Amino acid sequence: MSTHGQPVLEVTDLTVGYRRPDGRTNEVVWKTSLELHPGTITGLAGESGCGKSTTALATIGYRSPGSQILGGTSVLDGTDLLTLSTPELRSLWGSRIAYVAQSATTALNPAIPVGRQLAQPLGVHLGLKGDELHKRQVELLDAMGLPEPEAALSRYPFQFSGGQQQRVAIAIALSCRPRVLLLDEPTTGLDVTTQARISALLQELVKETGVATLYVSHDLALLGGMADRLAVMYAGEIVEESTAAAVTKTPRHPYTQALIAAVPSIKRPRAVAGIAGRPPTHVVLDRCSFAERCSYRQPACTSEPIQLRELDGGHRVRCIRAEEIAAATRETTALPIPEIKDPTPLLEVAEVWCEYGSRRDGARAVVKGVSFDVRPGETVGIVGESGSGKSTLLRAIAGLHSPVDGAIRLRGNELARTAVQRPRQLRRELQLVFQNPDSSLNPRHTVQDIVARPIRLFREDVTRSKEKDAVGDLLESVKLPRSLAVRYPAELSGGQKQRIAIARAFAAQPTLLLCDEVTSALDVSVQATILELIADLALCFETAVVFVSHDLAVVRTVATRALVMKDGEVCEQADIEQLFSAPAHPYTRELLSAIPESIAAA
Amino acid sequence: MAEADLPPIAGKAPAGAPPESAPPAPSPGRTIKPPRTRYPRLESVLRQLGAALLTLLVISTVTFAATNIKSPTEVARNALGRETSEAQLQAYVEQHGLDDPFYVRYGSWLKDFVQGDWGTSAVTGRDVRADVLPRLGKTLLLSLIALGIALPISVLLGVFMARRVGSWQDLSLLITTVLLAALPEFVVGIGLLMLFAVWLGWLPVDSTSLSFGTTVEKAKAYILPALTLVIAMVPYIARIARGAAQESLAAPYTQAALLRGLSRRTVIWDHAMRNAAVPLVNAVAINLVYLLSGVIVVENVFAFPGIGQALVQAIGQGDTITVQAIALVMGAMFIAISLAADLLVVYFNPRLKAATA
Amino acid sequence: MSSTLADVDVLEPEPLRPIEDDDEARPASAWRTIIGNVEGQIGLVLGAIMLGIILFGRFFTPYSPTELGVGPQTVGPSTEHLLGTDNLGRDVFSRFLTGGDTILIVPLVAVTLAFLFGGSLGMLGAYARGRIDAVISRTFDLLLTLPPLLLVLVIIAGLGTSTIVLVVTVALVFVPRVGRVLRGATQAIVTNDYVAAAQARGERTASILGREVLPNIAAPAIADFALRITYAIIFVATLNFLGLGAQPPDPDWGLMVADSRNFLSVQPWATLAPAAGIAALSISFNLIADALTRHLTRETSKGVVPV
Repeated sequence: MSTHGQPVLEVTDLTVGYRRPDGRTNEVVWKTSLELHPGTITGLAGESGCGKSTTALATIGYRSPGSQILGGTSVLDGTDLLTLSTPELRSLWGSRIAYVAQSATTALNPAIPVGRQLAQPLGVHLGLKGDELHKRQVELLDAMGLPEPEAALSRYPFQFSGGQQQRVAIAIALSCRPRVLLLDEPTTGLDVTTQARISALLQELVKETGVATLYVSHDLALLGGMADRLAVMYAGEIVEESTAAAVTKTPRHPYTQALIAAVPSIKRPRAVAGIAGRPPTHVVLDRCSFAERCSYRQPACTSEPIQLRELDGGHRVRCIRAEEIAAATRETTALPIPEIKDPTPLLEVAEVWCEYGSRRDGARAVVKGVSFDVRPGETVGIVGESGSGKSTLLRAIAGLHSPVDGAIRLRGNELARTAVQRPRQLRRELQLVFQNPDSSLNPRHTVQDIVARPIRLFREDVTRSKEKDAVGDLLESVKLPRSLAVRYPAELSGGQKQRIAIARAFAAQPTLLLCDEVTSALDVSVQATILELIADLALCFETAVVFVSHDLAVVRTVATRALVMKDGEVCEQADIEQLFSAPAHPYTRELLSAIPESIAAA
Repeated sequence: MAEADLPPIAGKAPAGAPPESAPPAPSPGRTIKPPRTRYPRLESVLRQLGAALLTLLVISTVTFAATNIKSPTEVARNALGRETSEAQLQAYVEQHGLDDPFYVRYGSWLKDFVQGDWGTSAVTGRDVRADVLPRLGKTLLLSLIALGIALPISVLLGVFMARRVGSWQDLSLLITTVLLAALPEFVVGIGLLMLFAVWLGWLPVDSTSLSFGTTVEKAKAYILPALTLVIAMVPYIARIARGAAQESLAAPYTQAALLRGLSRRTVIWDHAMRNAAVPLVNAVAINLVYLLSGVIVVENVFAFPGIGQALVQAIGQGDTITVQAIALVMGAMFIAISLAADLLVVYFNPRLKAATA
Repeated sequence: MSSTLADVDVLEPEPLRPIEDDDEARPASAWRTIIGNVEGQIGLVLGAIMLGIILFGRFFTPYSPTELGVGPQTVGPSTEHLLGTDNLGRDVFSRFLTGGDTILIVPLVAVTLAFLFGGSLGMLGAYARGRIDAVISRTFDLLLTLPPLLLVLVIIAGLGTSTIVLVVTVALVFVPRVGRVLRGATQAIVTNDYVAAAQARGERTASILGREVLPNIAAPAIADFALRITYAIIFVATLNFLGLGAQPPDPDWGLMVADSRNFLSVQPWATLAPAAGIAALSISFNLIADALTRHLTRETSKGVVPV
């Protein structure tokens, strides 16, 4: 199992819990063990809530507010970190142990110049001062690839881009040459191209400095490419652990297999398979935590606790049927392709220009002369990184943002700039689903209120008395029980809320559905179910869809045609297959090459 | 009677703006001109000065308008007594130009005021400025003493409570602030009076010794009024400090600072409280308005010979000229303190402080 | 529909979390928050007692509150005069039972006016944004820079001390403050996508403000209402104390404190009783306001880093 001799950090049976308001303790991490070796990256993968961040922070002795370390040891060079006091830990943090947080924008102090933040650990741990300190600061920033390192020292974090901020954070972390490095989703939230560059930088640094690295991420594909060893967490326990190649190419645990199948891939057109149900909110000890969602479930799986066993080749799995389960990925069926019967465009977007900000303070053009069509029943994807203008364009089509020039036509009728000016019939045909399920449903309205509103506004065929039934039917069409109608959004999970949002959109029986990053705020396994749902409903009701996303793979899964946008302009517009197999524009090629290698077998 | 709500942390981008991955570069083509500011700090200072002057103008206008609502003959009658004849009243009106249109009277009053002539009181017959100026000094001293004690105590308390959110220390202090904040200043003043002056007899019952007594007696005369003001302000400011401290102590940058191995003092004060400073100073500046009200009341309770007491007296006597003068002076005093607070905000706000990128 | 969904049907539909007693999920109501909280309970009880005294005390006065010489002057409590008498021989207890009128009514009316006027302006500004919001919030900012007591004193100096002047001036003081709070609360709501969804449906401004925004700002609005009443009570009591609100011979608590200050050492009850009355009334509202602010608007539960 050990690859490079003695581990630098050895974690054994770590158990972490959170105090509940009523005084009881919830375990969120159970008897987890890890080893970190010099110069290697150990990946810790899992969806939100599985306990990976909590585990990682606990291994370096940090207790998040409200959490308690209930058991286990974490040994660094002979000392158990979990028994140390805060002052003792303080001398290790920043010097022998380094931490890079998820979002550099929030982890760098916005009110202190970057140079001083860099100087502080150097002064405290290495005692550097004056010229020597200054030299080292410039050295570090230069090594991270930051332009004009001298000038950068006196700047504030907000004066740098997201990627540059993360480089600074990494510089601070590695400044005192630590033995252990903890990376907590360091590239989440960055653009795909920036992600790729930072990931490359990290790999290089780990090799050069020989630091033992723990990389926490929800992105299995990313970890598959970067890590040496990979552990998958579910419900606070490690369910599979082996070399990264083994876990991603030949997964043995049903959850890992399902997770891989749920991740949209650019190599696997239109195929994605979600995992129904929700992960448990805390550890499940008396049986398999994944059993209720597992398609290989047997009575033995729910009657006794399941241990982590080692299979041949140092591959550890927490499943009693691991040998039987073929080391293959789960079956995925391609989503059905809608047939385009009518070539006349349903939606025409002609030379639309949009701006942000008022003329007085300096307006910026965010959409510059974009044109495209959507035919009835077809799904068109719009891909772009942040700042490309794709969301603004969608909002302009919806009537939420007034374009300054250009025209938008629905079935030949020119649409007014704001929704409130448009005739009811046209408003009915165009419905919107938003990115964040937490903010798209009014917390003070019940599900019934929310879904019935468009019915009441737009559906003349449904009388008041029939409304309840209509809502019930819609809930069933999004695979939710009718009884959900009386609940409030706060009682539902993210996936359920997004389904309600979709039900609300289809309630008006639209001919065109606008989707704004609708899966970006959801966990991978839930994403897939939502994508399946939208594709099926669109086919069923013959609704055209405009699907905006920053994720190329997601777009590949649902769309038949796509546009690539950058800085407000359309770089390329083509059928999906052509776009992915023979991209014409250099930017498209850059995007495609930045995506981490697909993890599924062909 | 102060504000406990917290303005948002300055510089946070509104949710509607599109996220950016690079600093905004002027894009070619259809863009209109980029934002004009090349010296953000200077511009904001100038802007604040301008706002301060405008406010002063508004205060003076409102003051003048309100005190001059009475008809000219009424003012004359007030000054000369009830038994004066019509002719004498008319003469007085003409002599003092009370017949002139509003803006003429306002303009001439303002001009005189700025030049140092604050008028002669119709009630006491003395020069207003000579009476008011010495009082101003005492009021300023009292205010500054109270602020100087209340602010540090409040901030320390706030940080103390924030670090122990939800604990029994935090909760009991919170309840104390709720109870104290609900008490009007004069109730606090009377209460302290009863305790220290009447019951224990340690301190004087009122501040009249400021005009006649020895230096020690004069110093003692400041204690109870200042203490009252401190007790009136601390619950509000401590609450605000607690909120600001809590938010920054829970922020990711504080966690990051801790995980860099920095000392406790550095993490709390250099990293966390530096960010808390902006909303804190903002909120305290807003609350300074109430310091002014507090001073007026406290001077009244303790017969403290400052401009607050003079103001109330003047209103009671119908001495409009004195009222005008004092109102403007108090307004100016308050604006000066607010301006200082605003400048502090600029210092702490990195986006305004930074030179052009 | 499609065949892929059949696989999903095999597994159980997503189980719903059962509603637990201390559930934070259901939207809270103001009433339940007050009732369910010790602080709120004490505030309610105290407030009810004070309301009782103020509203109904006048039916139980042993003497007339304004009649002079019903007893010896400046004498401490006795069986005939439960709280003693003041320097004009008036019964302090009777005056206490009838002295809370102005301090309760004026704040209630003034704050309600401030909410109706300032609140709607604030909501409108936050929703409409752009030029309208700029005008509204600039006006608020300007009004906020005027020191309240100073402003009220000056206006009273000119317009006299009638109740109407008092109510309108106090309301005026609070309009920009309430407006700012509700504007802030509305701004937080308006950026949510469910408001955008309503706009995309083409709903009108009034409908959106009423259906989507209002229920969500009810919580901070109610909490702020209780808080403003507290401040208004303090404010009006102070004005009365300074002799600029209620006038003698009204048995107003603020006036009583001012009048009896001079014989504090001889007959403290003439000062203590009204002062305690003011304090109790104001504290009760502040307790309710604090209970609402901390539990209804749910203090950010994000934990403080263990430095």
